Amino acid sequence: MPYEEVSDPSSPMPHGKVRWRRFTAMMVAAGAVAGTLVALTAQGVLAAQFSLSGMPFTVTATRLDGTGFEQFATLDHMAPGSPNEGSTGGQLVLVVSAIDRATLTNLCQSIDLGGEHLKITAGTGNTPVTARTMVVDSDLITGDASFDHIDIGQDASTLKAVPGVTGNIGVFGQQARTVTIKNLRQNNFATTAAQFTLPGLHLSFTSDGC
Amino acid sequence: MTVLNADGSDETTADRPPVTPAPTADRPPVTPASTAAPTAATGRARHGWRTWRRSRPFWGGLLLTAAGVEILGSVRAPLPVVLHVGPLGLAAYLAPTVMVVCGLLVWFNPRQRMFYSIVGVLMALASWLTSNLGGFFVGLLLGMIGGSLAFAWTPSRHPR
Repeated sequence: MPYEEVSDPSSPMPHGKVRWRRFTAMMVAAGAVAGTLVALTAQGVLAAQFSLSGMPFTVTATRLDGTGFEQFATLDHMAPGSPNEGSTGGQLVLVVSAIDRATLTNLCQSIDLGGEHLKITAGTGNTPVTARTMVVDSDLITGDASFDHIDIGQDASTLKAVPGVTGNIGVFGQQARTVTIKNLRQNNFATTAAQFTLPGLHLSFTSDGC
Repeated sequence: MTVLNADGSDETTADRPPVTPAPTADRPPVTPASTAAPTAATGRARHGWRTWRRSRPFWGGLLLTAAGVEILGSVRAPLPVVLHVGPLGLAAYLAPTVMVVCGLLVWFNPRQRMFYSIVGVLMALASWLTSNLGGFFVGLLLGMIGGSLAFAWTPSRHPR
């Protein structure tokens, strides 16, 4: 390292070039860390965090078990002039579902990138996916659901099942202590702060979604 | 400088992301006439652009900036929702923003490239956990390559 250049900051930088041995050393070090991160995520040791919106994406799971469940309606606004507006006028009535702690078996998440789908699968083995504070805005949820200790028709601003997540005052809401959904399928427009542990992570580009 | 030197530089630009860096303003508008017979002014401008590009880790900074932009584009969660869910949501924005800042600083303050490139690579690695698996792997890879390029760039004048 020619440190003397730092001592004279007024002089123009001379031309330079990339020293490839040094590049390789840095890439190997960074690649080793990245490989470790990917491996630990795929083993379900580390949790990865997702925040997406605007692009609709699909989440399916053969079974979801959750503790702390809230659901209420919301009105989402698209960015003005968004090409996804269509006939909606840029406004979408969506259902917000929030789950404090959830475990999902055979999770599949796919994002349509115009013909090509980015597909993430995890939890296909013995260890399920776990998620914390999963908040999703959906326009479609299907599945066979059962709830425990459910309060229906509670004002959305007073919901307490998921700490920190409430709706607007005067909006219909419901909450439950536990939830179980089999053959879950969601069309989501946003998911946030969903911290996922993804054992058996598999990320691929495919022609079909979930 | 001849036209051949200005145009036939050894850099391949075909596979680079189409992010045009700010200094393209120095480059004159290319008209059919000017490509056929460059004036002295265009030659000087191209020479200046090339000098600027060669006196800093240009490709490293470009790739690091592009990586940050790509990850930011993949996050796109509305800010009210992010504030709603607390600091974990903000982390999704923090890593790619720092990557963009590091990429630009590598250009405009190349003397500190060591620090910026190492922070940039660390943020690219952190984005795997915080920001959609590092912008679905693309930004993570670009950030690692860009940061390493900036790290490995050295002025030709060696002290020894």
